[in-house]
Amino acid sequence: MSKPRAPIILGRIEREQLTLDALVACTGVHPARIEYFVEYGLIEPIARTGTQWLFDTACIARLRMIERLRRDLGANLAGIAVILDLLDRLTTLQREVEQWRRRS
Amino acid sequence: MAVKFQDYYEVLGVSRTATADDIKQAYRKLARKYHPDVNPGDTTAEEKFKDIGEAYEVLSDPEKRKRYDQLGEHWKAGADFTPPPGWEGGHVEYGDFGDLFGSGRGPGGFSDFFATLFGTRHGPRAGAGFAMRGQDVEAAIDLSLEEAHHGATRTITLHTTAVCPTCHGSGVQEKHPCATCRGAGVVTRPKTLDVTIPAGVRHGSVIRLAGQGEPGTGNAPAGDLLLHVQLRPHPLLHVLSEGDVEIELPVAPWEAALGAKVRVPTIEGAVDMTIPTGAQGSQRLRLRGQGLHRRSSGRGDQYVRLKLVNPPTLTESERALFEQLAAASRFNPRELMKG
Repeated sequence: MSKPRAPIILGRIEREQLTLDALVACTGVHPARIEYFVEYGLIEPIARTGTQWLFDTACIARLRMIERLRRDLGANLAGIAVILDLLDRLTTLQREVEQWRRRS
Repeated sequence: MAVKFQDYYEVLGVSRTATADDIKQAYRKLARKYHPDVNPGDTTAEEKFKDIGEAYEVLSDPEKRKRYDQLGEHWKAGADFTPPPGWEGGHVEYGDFGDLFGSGRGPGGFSDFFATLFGTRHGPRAGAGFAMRGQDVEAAIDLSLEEAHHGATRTITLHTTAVCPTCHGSGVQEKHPCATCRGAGVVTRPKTLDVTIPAGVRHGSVIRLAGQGEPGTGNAPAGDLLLHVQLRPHPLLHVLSEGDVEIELPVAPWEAALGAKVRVPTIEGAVDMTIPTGAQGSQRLRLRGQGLHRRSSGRGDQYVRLKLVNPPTLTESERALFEQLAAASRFNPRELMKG
């Protein structure tokens, strides 16, 4: 029954930079919406080559989170932006607290 | 097979006579509180959110609520439940809660109790020629700072759904719902992967394993597996941005005053560092290129913050020397205060 373990080499994949089209293919979110999200600052491209945006793989997870928050909580874009900012701050604070706890 | 009875009214905290508006209000309030995205890493919240979603799925739909109410009010949550004779599990299409983090439940994320009452999902899957890309699966992976810096190999086990081996995804076996997957066409099974983490990942980095998520329906490709990197705090090194790290280095007053050569721990072992003559407490020195591997190339810097530390107890001679210094020195540190 159990299949042999699948070894996966991630060296190539981690530094992957996704174009807008690739991000659309991964998430199924409409490109116009992604552009709107970028405009709103919900996700940020890591680089820009000419007219092309490049995204980090973390954007896939972030986009999925945005979609979940819309669907499950009915949050609008401004609300989602606030939620994401607060979550980022929460994570930073939690890490700092942890760091201080270890030091003292 | 007996399943555990779920009291959906209790889950949402409403009475059995609650109106549709009451139910919606209760759901919204609880969903906000227990949403997995708002409670990162909290598995109890995640479970609770799934229960809430399932309860709302039933109670918000007049037809399902009616069927549920027919069971009567004498059931207790958690009691062994078998549907009354003549009860037929319909094949109702229902909402999708399947793409929550690490789904540990049946396909669709609902309980066996729900499946017994309302059947398993038979919506899109049943349509001939329907193809839908599989769900992405998200999971967290814990790494030490050393592992993130050097790269590491990890074995991870995930619970993902796979196409049912008995009915090969059709959900039907000899005109009856398949016994292995209860007609869902997919089963939950642990999946073990050996993952090589490349050097230079950070807290919040996401590693994508293309095609390692949930299987797609029809001929559509499988979803991706997204691994969220979480770094455990390092006992000495504090991570700053851009691959820079900071360390607090205790130094004796005379080392700071006279300068010294000391050993400083870095992510790649101890290195020699020169403390300049007349160094001040809390002064920040830089070890260029001794930080973490950067995403692009090269390494960040390590900052060394000096911390002046006096001996906890002074020996006779130390005390004598300090007293001699105090008598000889005309330095008044308070003169540096600007008010």
